Amino acid sequence: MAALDQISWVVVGYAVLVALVAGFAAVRWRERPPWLDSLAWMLEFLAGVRALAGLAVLLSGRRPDEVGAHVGYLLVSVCIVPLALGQVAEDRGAWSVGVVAVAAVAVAVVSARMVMTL
Amino acid sequence: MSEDRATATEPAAPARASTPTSGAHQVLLLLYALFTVAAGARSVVQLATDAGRAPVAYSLSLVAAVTYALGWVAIRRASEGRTAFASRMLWVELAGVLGVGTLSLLVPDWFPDASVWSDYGIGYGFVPAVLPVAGLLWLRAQDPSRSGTGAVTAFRVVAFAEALSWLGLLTGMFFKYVVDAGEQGVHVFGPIHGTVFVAYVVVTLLTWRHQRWSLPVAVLALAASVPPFCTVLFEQWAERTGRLRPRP
Repeated sequence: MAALDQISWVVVGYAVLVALVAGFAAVRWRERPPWLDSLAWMLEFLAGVRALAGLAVLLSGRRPDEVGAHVGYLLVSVCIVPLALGQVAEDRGAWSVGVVAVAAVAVAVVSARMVMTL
Repeated sequence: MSEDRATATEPAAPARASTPTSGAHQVLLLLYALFTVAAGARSVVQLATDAGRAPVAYSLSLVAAVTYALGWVAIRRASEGRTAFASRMLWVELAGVLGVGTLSLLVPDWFPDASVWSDYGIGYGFVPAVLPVAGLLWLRAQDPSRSGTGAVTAFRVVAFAEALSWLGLLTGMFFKYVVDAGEQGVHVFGPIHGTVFVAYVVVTLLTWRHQRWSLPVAVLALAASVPPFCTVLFEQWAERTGRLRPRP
């Protein structure tokens, strides 16, 4: 399943980028720029693509090495960004940028674990 | 807008300047939510599919999940000005991480598979050990009478703990490589040093912001964590040059 792993690594790389940009924004501006939300939603889109592709492969009959954990990661990967952005919807302070950074790191970790459990 | 929401949901709470909607608790809340899901899903799957393999470890993971859920509630309440529950719950969580972490090192037979808090949360980058400490520091900062001293005190304590954990690790390495008396010391002090190291990095980043250090000073503070005992040297230098004077 090289293609699935490739999407996963793209998600990991992009998530790390979002986390770094968020870290920079927190120190530099001490508030959350609107385009950071767009970057985060782009990450959500990528994670969604990976989850749908993973779901399609699962339905086609292929069993991952650790089924329970892998399905858990598929579900969690698409919930993190909406959860984080929802939590700080009315807060644009420096710490809300930290929330976006933590969410991005979490998506990166979950995507990397997805590769390990496939 | 955000102030209105805070007062509308908590009309009984006194209006305190230290309980705004924005703040470090936002990051803590997300981390507690993530760890509730991670520990909960992991323990439920493991208990449901293969409970006989490591029943103690899997049950302790479930306990960790419940602790994180309660921690989330505690921090949520504390951010609204009601700190009583959090001031107990975070200590319970810290005791849990340290207790289970130590147990996993002393009685490895009970842990054929890892629990969330095994080796002080090594499987999660030691975040489980740092989380209750960060929560307690945040809680302390909520108290107006102590404002300004929390970050500096935390930095001093963690810098000293970093040097101590180096001492333990070097002692363990001496017995492993020089005396050739087994690697028990390294096995115990390795995870402890890892935990304290991560805590030092986090506290240094917070102190950098709080004390408004320049970038070179912050880099120096972080670099001091690499060679043994240099965190204490840095702390003494920072104290001497007024960089640890509490700010309001």
